[in-house]
Amino acid sequence: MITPKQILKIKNLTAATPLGPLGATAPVNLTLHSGEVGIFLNDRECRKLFRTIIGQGKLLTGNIDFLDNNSRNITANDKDAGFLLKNVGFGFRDLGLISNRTILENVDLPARYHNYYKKGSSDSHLAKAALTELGVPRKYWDKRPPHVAISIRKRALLARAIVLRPPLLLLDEPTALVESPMLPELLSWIDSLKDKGFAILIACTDYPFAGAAADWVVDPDSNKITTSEEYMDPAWTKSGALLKDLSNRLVMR
Amino acid sequence: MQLNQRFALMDLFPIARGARREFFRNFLMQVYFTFVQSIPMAAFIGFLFGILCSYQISQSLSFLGSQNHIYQLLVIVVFRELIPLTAALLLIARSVSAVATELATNKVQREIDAYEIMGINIYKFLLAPRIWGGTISMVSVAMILWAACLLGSWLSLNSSKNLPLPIFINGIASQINMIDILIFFSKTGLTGFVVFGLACHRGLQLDGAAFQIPQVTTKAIVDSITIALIIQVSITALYYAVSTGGFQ
Repeated sequence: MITPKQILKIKNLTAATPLGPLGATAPVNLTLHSGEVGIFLNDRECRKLFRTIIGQGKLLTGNIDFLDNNSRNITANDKDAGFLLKNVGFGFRDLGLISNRTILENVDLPARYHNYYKKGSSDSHLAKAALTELGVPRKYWDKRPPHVAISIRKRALLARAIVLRPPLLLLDEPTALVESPMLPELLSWIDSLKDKGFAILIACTDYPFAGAAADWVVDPDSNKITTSEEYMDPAWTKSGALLKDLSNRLVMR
Repeated sequence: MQLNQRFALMDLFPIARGARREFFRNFLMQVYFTFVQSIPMAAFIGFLFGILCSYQISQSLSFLGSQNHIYQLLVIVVFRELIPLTAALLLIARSVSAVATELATNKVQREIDAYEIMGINIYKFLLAPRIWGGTISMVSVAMILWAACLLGSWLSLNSSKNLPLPIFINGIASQINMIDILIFFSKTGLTGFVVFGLACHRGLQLDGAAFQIPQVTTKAIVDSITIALIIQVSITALYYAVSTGGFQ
């Protein structure tokens, strides 16, 4: 069991991002530890936060600290590619695979570009491990993204996010484009990442998924952090009421 | 969406091992698409060009009664002026448009975004190989054009005047000097560098909407033709300014 340590701390954050202002209604405050999953049900606000974390937003107030022993302010390092690479893995929603490279080359690209392989090594073991972990069948590895099903592309995007094993994962709608039968597999994968000590921040509009995967949820109405138990409780949140309503309807059928 | 990374001149020269390896891979792909694949077309156009030019020059000179100036005219007009311009127009139509479209599409597909997030310097990874590959290809295509043009010229002159190949080659070689070669390479090299740089700039200027891709491509082509003409005329004007001691 890995001892949880603070990976990300955001305090009183407001920022100007390419997607619009972040924290316009209330500044963002959150702390994320290793082995923890936080889900934003307000996906648009979360995407702005993601942009700010990866250095594409301008901090107006507050700060973002990464890793308890190595606190760094994002504004000072927003163009430090090495820092982003070592600390943040980004799982795109749908687009973002390089169309003229194969699935394996796509996942392998960050490792190759940043020289993660020893000289002479050509086996792409990091990429192969990530693709295997995400369950991408070997027959698709040498195909280009436009020639595979969208669910394979999605898995490749997630594999690329974890290929360098960054401590912080930002996942944009991991359930989008995933077939329903694959959802338990996705949940198991997220659980396995938690066990390995990844800190995961997710933008998601899938309420049941959020209830099943999150340690805490940012409620879209109040913009406040609730534990997953509170989130599921109809007395606490509208999301909880919605989930309760959904389960009632299922029972009635 | 604006790019997060900023261009620095050193980005044109990737040094780190991983970045360098990817640079060469992309560079070779660019040379393959821009030069190798255009060899048949360049050879064909150059050949026809040679037949046409030598026939016209020969006819005009025989009318004026100064047939022995044919080599001089082929070097000055064709080698120094028309071949670099033709190579530029050919590659602008064929490859500059492709580079601008590709980069614009990459932006729409969020591939540029992905590179930035993966910590990949897009100037080293995408732009430098395209610019250097385009420059080398421009020079190489111009050389293919010239070689094919010479062949066409000789066939044309041989059919009308029974001119042996060694005499023709000697005639051309006697007229080409270092200045001509310098002008040829500076025109083709500089044009290649600038127009491919412009194509990259235009491609990355896209705001993120797919409907803008044709607009960006058209802009890249029109701007490139204008810039190419300006470069060609400027180098010729500079040569005459220097060789005659100023514009007379």
